[in-house]
Order: sequence, then C-alpha cells, then structure tokens
Amino acid sequence: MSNAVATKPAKTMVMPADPPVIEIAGLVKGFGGRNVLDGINLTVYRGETLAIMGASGCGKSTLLRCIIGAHRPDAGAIRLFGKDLWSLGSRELDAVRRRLGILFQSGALFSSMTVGENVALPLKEHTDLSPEMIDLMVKVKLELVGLREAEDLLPSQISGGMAKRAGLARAISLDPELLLYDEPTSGLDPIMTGIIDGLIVDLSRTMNVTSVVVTHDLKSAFRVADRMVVINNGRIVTAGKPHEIRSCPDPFVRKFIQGPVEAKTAVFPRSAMEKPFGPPAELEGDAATAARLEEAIATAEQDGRDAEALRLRKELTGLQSAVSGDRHSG
Amino acid sequence: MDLVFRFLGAIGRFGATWAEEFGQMGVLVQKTIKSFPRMRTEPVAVQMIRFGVRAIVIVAFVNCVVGAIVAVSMSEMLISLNAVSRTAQIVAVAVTRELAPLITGLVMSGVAGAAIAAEIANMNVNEEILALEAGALSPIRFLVMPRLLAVMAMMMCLTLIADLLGMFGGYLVGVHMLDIPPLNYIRINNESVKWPDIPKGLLKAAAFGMIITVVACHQGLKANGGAVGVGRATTLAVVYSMVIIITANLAFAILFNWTLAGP
Repeated sequence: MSNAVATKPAKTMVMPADPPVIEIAGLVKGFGGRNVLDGINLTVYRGETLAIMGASGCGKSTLLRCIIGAHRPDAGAIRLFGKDLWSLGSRELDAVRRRLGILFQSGALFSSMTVGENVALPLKEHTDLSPEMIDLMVKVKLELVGLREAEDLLPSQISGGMAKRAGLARAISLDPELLLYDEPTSGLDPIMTGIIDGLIVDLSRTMNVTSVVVTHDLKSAFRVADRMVVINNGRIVTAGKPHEIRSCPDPFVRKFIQGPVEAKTAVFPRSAMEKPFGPPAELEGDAATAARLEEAIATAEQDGRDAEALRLRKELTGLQSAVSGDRHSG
Repeated sequence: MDLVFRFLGAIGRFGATWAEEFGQMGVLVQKTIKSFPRMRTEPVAVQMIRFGVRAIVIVAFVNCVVGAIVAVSMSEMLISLNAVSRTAQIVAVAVTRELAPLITGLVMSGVAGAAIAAEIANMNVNEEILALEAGALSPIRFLVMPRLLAVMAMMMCLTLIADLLGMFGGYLVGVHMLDIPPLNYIRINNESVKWPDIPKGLLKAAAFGMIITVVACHQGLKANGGAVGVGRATTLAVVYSMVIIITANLAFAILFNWTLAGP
C-alpha cells in the first residue's frame, strides 16, 4: 500500500497492449484562490471499475468534470484514450466525448423531453440510424436498466431512482467505452442503491466498459470497484484494491472507512437503542440475504479470495435484479 | 477626496462589469452564428410557437392601449389648436416609427426573455447543460440558436401586429371619444404612415429580438447557485434586455431620423 497512484489494474480486466483509458498527471484545479485538486496523478485501465472516494467537498466531482473537459486544469495534463484533452480542437474533443457516457448525480435528464427522447437524443445526433432502429435501440437500453415502461414519461413524472436509471440508459445509448458515474447512489434508498450498484457491475461485465465511480457511499464503492482511490484535500491519499483499502493504515482512510460506525455508535448507543425501543429489528427475507452476501463479499475481498468475491457479487446482483423485477411487475 | 476615489472606483467597476458582459455576449453571438450551418428548422418552429404565438394576445392588447394613450394624451392640445383630426397622423407616425417595435420589445423581454433565462438557468443548475456538453452536443446549437431565430422572426411578426393594433387603439379613441368621422380618420391615418418606417421598424424588431435572446441565454448559461441563481438570472435578463433595448432604440432613432435623413 503506497501513495503512488498509478497502481496495477485488476489482472482479469486488463489487456496490457491497450493504452490506459484515462491518464491524469499533476492535475491542479483551483477556485477562488483555493486548490480543489492539488497534484492528482491517476491512471485508469481498460475494463476496470475504479471508485474515487472521499468526503463531500474533497474535489471528487471537480476531478470528474476535469475528465470530461468541463473544467480547464490550472496545471497538469489529462489524456483520454491516449489524447491530450486540452490540445484537441472542438471536433476532436466531441469525437472523444462520443466515446464516453456519464451519469450525473441528479440524472440530468432533459426536462422538456420524455425518458425515451432523452435516450434517443445521442443516437439521433451522432448516428445515421433510421428512426425505427433508434426506437428499437431506445427500448433495448431502457430494458437494460429496467425502465421499459417509463419510455413515454417526462422526467418530472418519475422518481429519483428512476431518473438515475434513465440517465444511465442515456449514458450507454452510444455503447461507450468509458462510463463515468457522479455519486450514482446518493439520495437513494438501500434497495434502489443495490439496483444501481448491480447495474454498474452488470454493465462493466457485459459491455466490458471501463467505469469510474465517484462516490462517498462506502458500501456502494466496495460493491462495484475493482480498484479504489481515496481523495482528501485535493490529493490522492491512497489507492489499491478494495481489500487493500480496508486494511490501509493511513489515519484518514481508517477514519473515513470507520467514521460512520463511530458516529452511529455515538448517536445511538446500544443501551439507548435497547431500552426505549427494544432490540434492533432483525432484517428479513431478501434484505437479510443481501446483507449476508455483502458481508461475505467484504470478507472474501479482505482475504484476497477474488474469485469467491466475484461469485458472491454475481449472486448478490442476481438477487437485486430479482427484487427489481418484482418491484416492476408489482 | 476619499469619497471621490470611491465614486470613481464604483464607476470603473460598473464599466468593467458591463464591458465583460458585452464581451461574453459577443462571443455567444459569434458561436451562435458559427452553428448556423448545422441548423435544424423543427426546434425553431417549436420555439416560435412557444414565444411568439402565445405572446400575440398580450402584445396586441398592450399596443392597442398604447395607441389609445397617445391619442388621449394628444387630444387636449389638438382640440385647442382646432386640429383634432390630426390625432390619426400623430398616432400613425408615433406607432409605426417608434412605439410598436419598442413596446413589443419590452413586452417580449418580459415574456420570452424571462422564460428563456429561467429555462436555461434551470437546465444549468440541474447539470443538463453539462450533460449536453459531455454528450458532445453543443448547448449553443441546441438551445441558443433555435431561440435566437425564433424570437427574431416572431418579433418582426409581432411588430406588424403591433403596428396595426396601435393604430386601431388610436382609431377607437379618435372615433368614439373625439368624434372624428371613421372614414376621415382612416384616410388621414393612411396618408400619414410613411411606408419606409415599416421596414425600419421590422429591422429594429429583429435587433431587439436578438438582444432579448442573447441577454437571456447568456444569463441562463452563466447561472449558478440553485433556485436563487435561477431567480437572479431571470431578473437580470429582463432588466438588462430592457435597458439595452431602450438604449438601442435611441441609437436607431439617431441613425434613422438624423444620420440618414440629415439633421
């Protein structure tokens, strides 16, 4: 475990002959005289899922915006698919952007268009497909995220979780090589969080997409990531596989990972929970199974049993998809 | 002395702010013109209906009332000069030369300018603009250009309607309050309208349409800070476009009535 950032990618994901999908070197970005990003070095390899974690305001979203070319760095370089982002002309930049998809925190669906029209827009603008083929593609993408029935609804008529899934359907409409997720599970209930996590894992496996997930949701990050980096005060504190992050001795990382538990204990001491309200309620049914699986995945990852962790993760994804299916049919 | 320096400093900051605003709006216009070759007509038609067709009633009503106000305001002086039938002449000239494009521009800065600024600012704070850019879709081509063309075209159409309704407002007052014979009023009205004033008015209308849209889109695209930012962008869009329209109208008045016609 070290502070060196360009760690080795997961063996099963990488094709060594391929250049990295994202290379960031010495990235500095500041606002109002304060450096939000202060010397970020990061490499993301083809096919891997990288989680970028950190507390709110640590610069995660700014980093994501720098990667898509929305913020010009004050210093440093960003290379996407081997091309230096800020040396490209607008047409070349657009060509690079067509190879990536992004899921925004709010979904960022175009409010004047239906869900189906949102998904169809990139296809209409960037391909020569016939309207019938576009219609078919839209249905396929919506089916993939379990939103087939929401095609004709406006963004204002769907829930936050559905908006995120619709945003994801739009992000994958052009079959991107790189998918970026900005806080994909924030503000969602645990079941919807599980569904979104399942989709991230599924898309990564089935489409062999390189994924970068910016999140402060630890559970979610440990579920989806092949590799993780932790950012604090605009700098990468540590990087590594999930089980390496769990056992990282860095004080900030320890605090970041264990913080929620300490806070929970402080606010709701067990004695206080037991006396006025009785013992904590036991989880039942699918939720209990999911919790047991998550625990087993965490343990397997901690012990370095990657194959076992992957098998359990698939099982968990299957369970979540089944729950999702039940919800839709219900 | 300190007060003087502070005053000069305030003027300097004000000037710098406006210079920056105009510079940014100039860049926006340049980018919009560059996106014309990839124009699609369907969104323009949609925006014409949104901002033009729906504004017809309010523009017609306001201009009719303004025509009537001019007639009523002038009536006392014209009666004392025993020239009440000249009401038609004054209304016709005032409406076609100045009032129709100006009043339509001010009304549209409230109707279309506010709507455009609020819509784009809302899209901005909801990351929809960023989503367009990230998807290699230009917000200028998707949002600014259709609105610019639609508002410019509809401003010209609405100004023609405003010309007619402004004169009709004067007619109502002249015929029903000042007892001018209807045919007499219409004859004087038609003789008084200087026909080159109509295309000049349309040119002004198109320019005002451009001002409204560019100011509104600029404010919307630079909005930030959630609902407060949307409100601020909307307010600034309406205020700035009204100030610029009135100032531009003075420039047009000097150009058309003084420079071109001679002092």
